[in-house]
Amino acid sequence: MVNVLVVDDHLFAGTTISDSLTGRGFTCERVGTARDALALVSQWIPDVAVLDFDLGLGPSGIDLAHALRKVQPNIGVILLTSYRDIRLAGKGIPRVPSGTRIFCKQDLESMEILHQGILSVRELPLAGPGVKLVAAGPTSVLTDAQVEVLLALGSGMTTAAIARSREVSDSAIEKMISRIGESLNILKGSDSNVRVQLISTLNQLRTQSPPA
Amino acid sequence: MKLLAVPSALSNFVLSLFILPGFLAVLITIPRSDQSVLASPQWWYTAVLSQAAFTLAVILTRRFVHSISAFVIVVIFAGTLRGSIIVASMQFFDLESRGTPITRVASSILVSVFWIGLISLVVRWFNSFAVEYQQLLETAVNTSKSTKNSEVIDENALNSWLELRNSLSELNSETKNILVADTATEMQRAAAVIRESIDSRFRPASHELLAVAVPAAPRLTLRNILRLTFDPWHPPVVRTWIPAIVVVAVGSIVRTGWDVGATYTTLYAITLIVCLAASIALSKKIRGTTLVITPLLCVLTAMPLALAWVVGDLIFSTPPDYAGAAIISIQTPVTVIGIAFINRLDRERKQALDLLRTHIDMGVIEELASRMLGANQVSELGVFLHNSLQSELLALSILLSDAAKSADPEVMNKTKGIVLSRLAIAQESNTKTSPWSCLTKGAPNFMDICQAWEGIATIRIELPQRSIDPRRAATLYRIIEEGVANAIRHGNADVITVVAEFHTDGLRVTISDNGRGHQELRTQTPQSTGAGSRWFTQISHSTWTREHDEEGTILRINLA
Repeated sequence: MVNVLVVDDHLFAGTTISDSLTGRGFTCERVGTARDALALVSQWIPDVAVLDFDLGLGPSGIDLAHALRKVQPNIGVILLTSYRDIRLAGKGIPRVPSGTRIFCKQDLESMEILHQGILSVRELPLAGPGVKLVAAGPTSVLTDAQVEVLLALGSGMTTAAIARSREVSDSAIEKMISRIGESLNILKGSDSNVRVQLISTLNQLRTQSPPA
Repeated sequence: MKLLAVPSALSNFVLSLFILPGFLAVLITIPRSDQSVLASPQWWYTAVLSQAAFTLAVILTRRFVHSISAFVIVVIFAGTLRGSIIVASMQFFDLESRGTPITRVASSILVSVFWIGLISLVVRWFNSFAVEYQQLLETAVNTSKSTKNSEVIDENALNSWLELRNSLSELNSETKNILVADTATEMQRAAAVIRESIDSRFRPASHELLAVAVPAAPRLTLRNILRLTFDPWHPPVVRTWIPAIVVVAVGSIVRTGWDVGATYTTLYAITLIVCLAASIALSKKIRGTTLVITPLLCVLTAMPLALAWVVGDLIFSTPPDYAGAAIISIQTPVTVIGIAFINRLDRERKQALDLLRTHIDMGVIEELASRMLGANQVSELGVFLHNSLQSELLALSILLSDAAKSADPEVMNKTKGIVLSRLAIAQESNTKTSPWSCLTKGAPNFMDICQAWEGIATIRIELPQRSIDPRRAATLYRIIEEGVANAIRHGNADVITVVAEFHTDGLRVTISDNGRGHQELRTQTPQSTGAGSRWFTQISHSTWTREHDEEGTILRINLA
């Protein structure tokens, strides 16, 4: 019997995962906040925690994972995220605890993948080093600074405003935007605007559909 | 002066503004009075070469400017190079001038530091003022009644919402029609229909909504700021006229010697006193003319001395010095106006902002607020579609696929019940009367931060007794949110105290924690890099610090 803690602030998504796991023979508890999760583990010991990355205000799934490891050092951790590259969430990302398995929600074609993942992290909860960033997809080639500039563009900031906020010159930001465009295979052309294409690409990457 | 402690203080724009005074400094001040610059192109080559060397030196070294001393060192280095190029070029072209090579280099350094410092300060102050203006404008927009008007609904968003209602309704009926006999084929078909619906309806809708641009507030123009700066303005005597007298004294003594130089300086000082007295008398009698009088005063004060340079031979037996007259006519008014401009922006910024407040057209603000609200609603709806509804539907399709694979009648029957009830709930909860009922609204509560981190860290927040205005409250909330998250994530803190209190210089926020307890003492300043640090620098105008010692970390931020 495997005890699984599911933490998702979306009641529907959390309940669906929890129902599916219960149907597969796991013992499952679902909560919506980090606070409730920590209160629960003081009375009940889960083997594996399935955590949504974005838990709304306050701690993220990664913060909660660290807190759970303090209570139960051998707990297996699975992180679910809507982003292939978590940096696009626009939040400071702390180091992910060692052994954590990360699943992009859109890549979960079947719950079987999640079930296998749970069994895997239960066997070897601490296997593998902690990783600093979860970067996958087309933006994985970008540096942290480039992702920050891309997000600033997406929020509607002008080149001058980005330059001011980063305390660099306007031309440095222009060059950076140009390099981001090259990295994402956005070609300069007389009929197209790189900035607009970058913002469009960013929006698509934030809501990317699963690969065919 | 902290504004100069960044690489962008020596931006290309600042360097381009230095080209004209840099050229004039070479073409006017160095050649002997009896030499015609127009007849000697070598002087132009010298000016171009020296200015190019200066610009290149600054471009290559400005990245090291992270303090005011670094700024001065970079400019002195580039000014020295500029002076050396002038000396070498004059020797190469066999040009004659006043002074020695050492005075040429020293003069180049002085010219560079003076002009670059002045130009950079004016540009940086203006930018900083423009940011404050923008914040003020955003505050006006955010606090205007239009942002609270729930009846304002963007047409695009409303249409998308209506389409969403129809799509959910159709999906619900379609799925009901498919799931009749609990077979694996039906389950697979229903899963495929839901996925197809996500791809063809909901995801494109969220893309479209997220792509809607939020309208920006109008920007501050240089013309407006100049008008507002000069309108109620008199140059502060100590800060402007005394530097002007020093400039005149140095220039006069270098060009004509001690005796004549002292006489010229005295003449300038007497003219200045007469002009100031006349200006004060005039502005008392004729109200609202300071916009004309003040700049005119700056130019007029230089005129008698400039004339003395030209006709000096009649009194002092010195040759006419047209270059000296030109320098006096240009440099002293620019010095006074430049310093007064900076002084005005610095010392009376709040007064200027109050003036701006009265200039804001509230009709424009209300309209802008209404448009921004509409765009924000569209964006929020897009995020909601992506984060919540699509995830829910995706989860349903996965459940159906899994049930089909299991081929277990009991599982399939149970799954059918779950899917149909979930779809009914989704349809009901997402089709209320207002499109925005699904979105979380309301002012943030500071205690939410304490509750959210409960179990991970103990957080105590002390707020001032006086009420905080909505703009500051929103900024304060973000600061506490960011500061607390940083303390826990990067400092491993588990006890955090936040104190916000009013001081004479504004609202002071102190976030102290018990993190990083055994690290050696070190201090972080606004020059520290990192997204959070840059944001703190931006909102606090570089007035934040973070100190670590054995007991923990203390972050201090001032909000003006």
